[in-house]
Amino acid sequence: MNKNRGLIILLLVACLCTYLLNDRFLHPANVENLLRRTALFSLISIGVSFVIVSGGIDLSIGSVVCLVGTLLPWLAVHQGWSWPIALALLLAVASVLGFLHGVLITKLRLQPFIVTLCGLLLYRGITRGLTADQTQGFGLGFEELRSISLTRFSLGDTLPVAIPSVVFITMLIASLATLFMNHTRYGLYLRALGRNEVATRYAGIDTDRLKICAYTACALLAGVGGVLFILDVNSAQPSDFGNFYELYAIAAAVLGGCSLRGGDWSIIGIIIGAALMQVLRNAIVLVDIPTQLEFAIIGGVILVGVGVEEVVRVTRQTRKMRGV
Amino acid sequence: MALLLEAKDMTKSFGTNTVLHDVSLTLERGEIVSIIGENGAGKSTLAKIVAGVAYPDSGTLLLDGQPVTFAHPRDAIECGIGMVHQELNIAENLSIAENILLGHEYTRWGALCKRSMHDTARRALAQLELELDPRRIASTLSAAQRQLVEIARALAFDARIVILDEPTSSLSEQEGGLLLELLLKLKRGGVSVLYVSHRIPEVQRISDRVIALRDGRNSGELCAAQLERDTIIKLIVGREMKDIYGYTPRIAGDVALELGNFQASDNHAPCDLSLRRGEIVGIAGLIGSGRTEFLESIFGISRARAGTTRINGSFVSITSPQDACSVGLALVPESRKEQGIIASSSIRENTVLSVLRTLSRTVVRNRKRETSLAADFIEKLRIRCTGPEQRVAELSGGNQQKVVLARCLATSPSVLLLDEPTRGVDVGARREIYSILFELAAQGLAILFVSSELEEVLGIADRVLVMNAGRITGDLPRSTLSEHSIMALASHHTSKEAA
Repeated sequence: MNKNRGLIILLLVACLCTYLLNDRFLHPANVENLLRRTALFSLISIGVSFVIVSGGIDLSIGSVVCLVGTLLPWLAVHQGWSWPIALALLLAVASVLGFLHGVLITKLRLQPFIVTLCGLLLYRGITRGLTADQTQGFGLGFEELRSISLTRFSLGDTLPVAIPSVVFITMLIASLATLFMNHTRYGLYLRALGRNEVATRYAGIDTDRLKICAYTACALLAGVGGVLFILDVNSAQPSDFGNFYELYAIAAAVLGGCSLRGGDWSIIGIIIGAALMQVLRNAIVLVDIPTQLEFAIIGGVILVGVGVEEVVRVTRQTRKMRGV
Repeated sequence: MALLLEAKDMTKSFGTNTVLHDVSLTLERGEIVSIIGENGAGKSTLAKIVAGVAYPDSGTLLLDGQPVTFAHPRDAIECGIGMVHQELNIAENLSIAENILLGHEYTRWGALCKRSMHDTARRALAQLELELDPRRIASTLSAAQRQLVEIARALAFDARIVILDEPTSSLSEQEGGLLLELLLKLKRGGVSVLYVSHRIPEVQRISDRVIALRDGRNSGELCAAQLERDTIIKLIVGREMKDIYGYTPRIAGDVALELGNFQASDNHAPCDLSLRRGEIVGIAGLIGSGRTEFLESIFGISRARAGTTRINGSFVSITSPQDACSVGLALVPESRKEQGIIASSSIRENTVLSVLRTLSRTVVRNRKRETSLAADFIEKLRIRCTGPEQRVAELSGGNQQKVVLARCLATSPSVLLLDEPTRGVDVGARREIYSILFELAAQGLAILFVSSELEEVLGIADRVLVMNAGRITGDLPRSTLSEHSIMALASHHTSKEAA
């Protein structure tokens, strides 16, 4: 918690400023929307955090989101598949893609950046080809499927806000991820490997298998994210659905303290990082900032956040060194 | 002769570890001064401060009587001080001339002016009587030639002072001898030399004066007439040599590790080796003779070309470090930072890394047992720290090495492999590590270690294997061990390509 203090303050300041400039920020519908978006982005961010903690990177997340998110309605609506089968197949495909990334990176010793960059191009291209670039969606059908995302849990009379179901899905996955990372030996192996892969291998640990698992988990969570994203918006254009999501996911993880040098991980940090980005995007709409500036603002805030964090860390470290 | 360089009261710490305490040094024009001392005594740090590579916490540096401060190696080079570092610092993909002038390229309108670079490089090489084409790519040079190119680089900018840090560690005996001749020649040409080494014969041969360091302090100074071997050793270790090892003979048990017709790689010859319980066997040889690769292939880091491995009598197949760990091997690797420790993790996490599987029956970790295991080893190996949760990065080199040892011993191995077990470890901690190794051997552990420190090999091994260009050229029992017998086997017929 201590480590994320700066980020929490940044989030609170962003919320406060937005609210002062437009009090609709705390309108129940807006809060619910923020919760939903934060949960969705946290999910793919948790996925990529496994890869980042191992010292790697995954740039293909947005395209996996697109692949799964647009092919699900395509298979169910256009090809007439039953949706549970389509869902299971697409999640399996996502896992296999992640597995392949891992194998190419560990066994062929290709660089993660290159492998997943090719993934980014390939999966979007394949999706656009299969769907002939046609917008995909469920329309008004498939109520059972869409209910996964549409269900909301009202908090009774105490608060007017209802909690979207995706928040609970993300909480469940976040708990599992925390359990894995902080309380199982594989979590320790993964962090050790991110900090010093050679030493970890020399300690007798199968680092290749761990890395493959990390890429598989990342792609699977991107796939789950893709399903929930399409259920949320119900209409996806293959050419831009999921665009830049890998960068939002990576940015949230990095803001949350997962250094790209590997080894560091914090679930609270990841979720707050994701929340901060959603609040910023929300603020741009509410405060009447031209949406063309969205990227510039998000980029600037991330840079300041990460920069301040690093300065604080270095000063604290030097002080500690001198103090001992 | 006028005093050319004077360093006064130099103090330098890295984190909590103070490596130099008020160390002083003088150098006259045309003089060769050797800085001697054990590993970790602070020799390299002192040399680096003079060369502007490291910056002292306090102390003054006088050049021609004028105080100077070097914020960057370039400042030192401009004052005529060139340094040849311990590790070879050659960019293999660049030409000799580009290496010599790296950072000082001649340009015209922003473009490299290759012809004048080649001329300067050729002049620097000529000073060393080297006839190499400056356009040749460095990767085609032998280790000795690369070392000479580094010296040429130090000389290329009208250096008045050349600093060499263990320059012969990667050279054969003959090549080393030629290098020393060269230094004497440079001296006659008016160049001053600071020679950092722990090799006593070399120091005796070339020095006008010797400055000894021990545990980061000046421990004495000798002039050319006083360079008796025993006097030098006493200054280096501060006591009789055998004290720091404390060798006692042990009775060896059954065979723990047996290699049959084992060929580590294409560059190695097949060999047989048997190592008994309670035995400490050293592998000596020059750098580049293939010792590390040999050890690494036993441990499965690289796959052996051919041969069989038996542990405690049964055949095993080892193709990865996991295999090695599971059959009872453990390796303390050569490079602590890159291969041994996870610096930003705690002592606890480092210690338990290899044995997490046995500490808890489920996948959920048992932190209590982790902490108590780490605490056990902290006590047993006398690791100086604030507790199991201290980050390994904050420990001194010797204590970091003990953490690596703890991780290895936690697996209760039957064979312990160590590669340069005391590199960068201060004298006090070295002594402790030796006594730990003796204790382990007495309990029946079989120990096989590689070391470039002849004194260390002579001090602790029951038996020494000498490796020369991938071939084991000698198997010497303790009674026949001497520096001479090992060096003769290690440098015999050495081809230049071996390095």
